This record gives sequence, C-alpha cells and structure tokens, in this order.
Amino acid sequence: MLLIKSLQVASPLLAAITSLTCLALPLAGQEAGASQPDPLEYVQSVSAMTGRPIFAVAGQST
Amino acid sequence: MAQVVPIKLDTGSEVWQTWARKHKAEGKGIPIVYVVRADGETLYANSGTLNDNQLKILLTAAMNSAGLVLGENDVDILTEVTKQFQEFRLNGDPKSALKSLKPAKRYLGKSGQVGSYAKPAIDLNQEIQLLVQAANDSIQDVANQVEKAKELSEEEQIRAIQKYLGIKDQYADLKPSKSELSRIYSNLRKNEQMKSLYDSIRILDMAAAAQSASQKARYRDKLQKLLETTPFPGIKSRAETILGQLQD
Repeated sequence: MLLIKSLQVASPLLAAITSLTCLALPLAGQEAGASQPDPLEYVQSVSAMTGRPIFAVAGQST
Repeated sequence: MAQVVPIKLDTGSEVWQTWARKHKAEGKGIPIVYVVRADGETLYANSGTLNDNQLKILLTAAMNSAGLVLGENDVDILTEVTKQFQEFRLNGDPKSALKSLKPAKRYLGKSGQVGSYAKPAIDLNQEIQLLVQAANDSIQDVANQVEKAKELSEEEQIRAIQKYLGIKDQYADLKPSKSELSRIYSNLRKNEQMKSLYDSIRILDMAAAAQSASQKARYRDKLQKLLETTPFPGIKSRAETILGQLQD
C-alpha cells in the first residue's frame, strides 16, 4: 500500500514537494460515485496527460 | 515545483515492488529518489538523501529532459487536432490533414513534431509520423516514375509530371518532404522535353482552375498561344479541351 503522509524525508524541500501529492490525490476521488483512485495510477495518468515528470521518493513507512 | 507530479512510495508495498522492477535504481538503501518522464522513461533513480541544492539541480536537469509540459488548454487543442488530423489522414486527404494542424502550429518544433512526452503530444506525433511515412512512400514512387519517364513517351512524361504535381499539392505543407520534392523538380527540369511539358501543364492546370471572368480571359489567351506553339499533341488536345470549357 502506498503511504502518502508519513514518510521520513531528509530534505525540507523534498518534504515540501512530496506533500503536494497529499493535496492532489483527494481531488481524484471527488467525482460522484468514484472509488478512491490508486495514488500511483492517478499520478501516472496526470503525468502522462500533462507531460510533467513524476518525482517519486521511496522509503519505509514510520 | 508544479512542473513535477510528486508521490511517496512505501518500499514495503506491492505497488513499489512493481515500480522498482520497472525503474531500476542505483545504489542500495533508502530513500530512493526517482524522476520518471511522462512516457515512463526513467530519468533518475538513485538511493541516498539529497540536500536542497542537489535536489534543485536534479529537478532542473529533469525538467530540461522532460519536454514541454501541457496545460489543460494545450491538452484540449492537441486532442482535437489529433482527432481531425487522423480523420483526414484515414480518408486519404493529407492536404486537409496538414491544414488541420494549424491550431497546433505553436507546439510543433523544427522537426515538425511536438516536443513533449505527454500522451496527447505522443498521439499527434505518431499521427504525423504515419503521414510522413506515407508521404515518403508516395514521393519515392513519383521520383522513380519521373526518372523512368525521361526515356518514355510524351504521354508517360505528362503522366509523371501530373503525378508529381498532385503529390506536391498534397504534401506541400509537410516540412520533411520539401527537400525531396525540390530534388524531383530539379531532376525533372534537367530533361528539356519534360521541362517544356512541365511549363505547359502548369498553364493547363491554372487555366482549368480559373474562376473569375478576367482570369478566364487571361488563360484563354495563354491557351491560344500554347496551341500555336506547342509541339506536343498531348498538350494540344488538353489545351483544346480546357479552352472549350473556358469559352462556355
């Protein structure tokens, strides 16, 4: 399972960037009747549609 | 920072296992930082912490390799243009397909493609590439036909020139085809008879397309002159036909 909110990251800038995902993800589930989207699928689809690269940080959950 | 789509991945998750197989990282340990282009190409995958400065450098480098980022309006424009372009291409109308690119002109680079890895751009680029391939095949055919026609009858030469003009008309707006079309034109004009036929056919074509009364009058004169001077029976018979139409 993806962990969105509680990864430890060393850089404040890194933390700031990755925290944007927390803001972006709930938007994908707001459509009426829509099930909670898979965060990675959502991010990949946004990236594919806009051309924005994915910035991912992998770590252990705390 | 809005130029990237950020996400955190839990290395204990199944999703991450799939991700990690696809995007092989250098080094061991966590965190692992990834930058993945919109088409799925891994631009950066390394373990270890980055300080703010390193991160800024990484993101700047990543953005330089990421291609054009599209906004909502850009996506709409490219999607609509691709739809129309494809429709014209599949209907065998490359000229209209190329004209339908106009709203997307500002996105097209020197190569005639959109410099973005976003799906709407990739889709349009693939469509353009298919048209370029079709143009190359047609242009190669006509180049061979023109070359062979040099040794053939006047009628074959007329056919080759008309084919060339038809292909040129269809693909004139396609940048990658321009130099090859110019090469065929130069080759054609190296043959004196074909050069003369070409000039006559151009007059015939323009006369046939004359719309206004003044244009028709002008081309009637030109056709009369052509009839008096041309040594080619094939040109003469065509000129008579068109002249008859202009006098109706």
